[in-house]
Amino acid sequence: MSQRPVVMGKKTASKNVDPITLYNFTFPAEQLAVRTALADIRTALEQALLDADLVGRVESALAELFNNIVKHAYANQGSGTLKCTVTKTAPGVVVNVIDRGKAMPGHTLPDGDLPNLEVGFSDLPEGGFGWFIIKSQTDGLSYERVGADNYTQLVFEVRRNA
Amino acid sequence: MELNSAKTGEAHVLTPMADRIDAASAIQFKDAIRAATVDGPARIVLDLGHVKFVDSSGLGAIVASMKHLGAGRKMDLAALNPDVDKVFRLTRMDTVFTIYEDLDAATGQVST
Repeated sequence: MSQRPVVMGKKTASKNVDPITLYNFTFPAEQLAVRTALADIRTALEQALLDADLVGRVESALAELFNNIVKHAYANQGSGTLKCTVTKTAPGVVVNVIDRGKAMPGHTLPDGDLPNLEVGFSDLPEGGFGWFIIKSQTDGLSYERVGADNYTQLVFEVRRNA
Repeated sequence: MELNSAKTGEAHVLTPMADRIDAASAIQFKDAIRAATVDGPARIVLDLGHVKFVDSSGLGAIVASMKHLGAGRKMDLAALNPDVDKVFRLTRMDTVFTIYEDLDAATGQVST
């Protein structure tokens, strides 16, 4: 890991060009643990004085990614774990997520197209929004399968006209 | 999920007393809405004033609840916070639901 250790008590974040780790935890891949993790990440981002739009986008994208891992990579088995590291960088936030569930189909990210809403009342979509939300809320997104691990990286930058 | 229920004018106002409609609570949300709308007015106003966060599972649950009412009844939304509103606009679900800024606007009460 090339990441630098966090220097405790160093609060001059706005002038600091070194990445700062805001959150670094491994938690069970299940819905209530996901909720707790999202709340902890929101608190960490707010304490780092990141702007409200960026905090909202991180929460939204990570909720979709985490739930996707719980539901699909681990197929709701309830025995896996998720490791998440949130780092503050000069332009925003970088999030690295590692899980040991099934690989993404074709070892690649889904297209994440918006489901068609031009349909009849009874055919209105009740799902399929997850990857669309992840893609639209991030400014960079990558996925890699290495051995038995899935590595997903999400990059968020402050959007001036959000 | 706890739902507050009130009849205002011709609308049945349902207020989820939860701060999240998400993957962990989507089923409880759907069950509560179904139970509360077995009968009653044709128009439902879903008051999201207490809800701070909706993910795609929560969004799906709201759509499913609206569809379950059937085409003869209607579900409008009111009092979305900025993050919740963003999810509806992003997914174009703001073209499927009528969204009111607050409960007064949704129920036709004129605030002076």
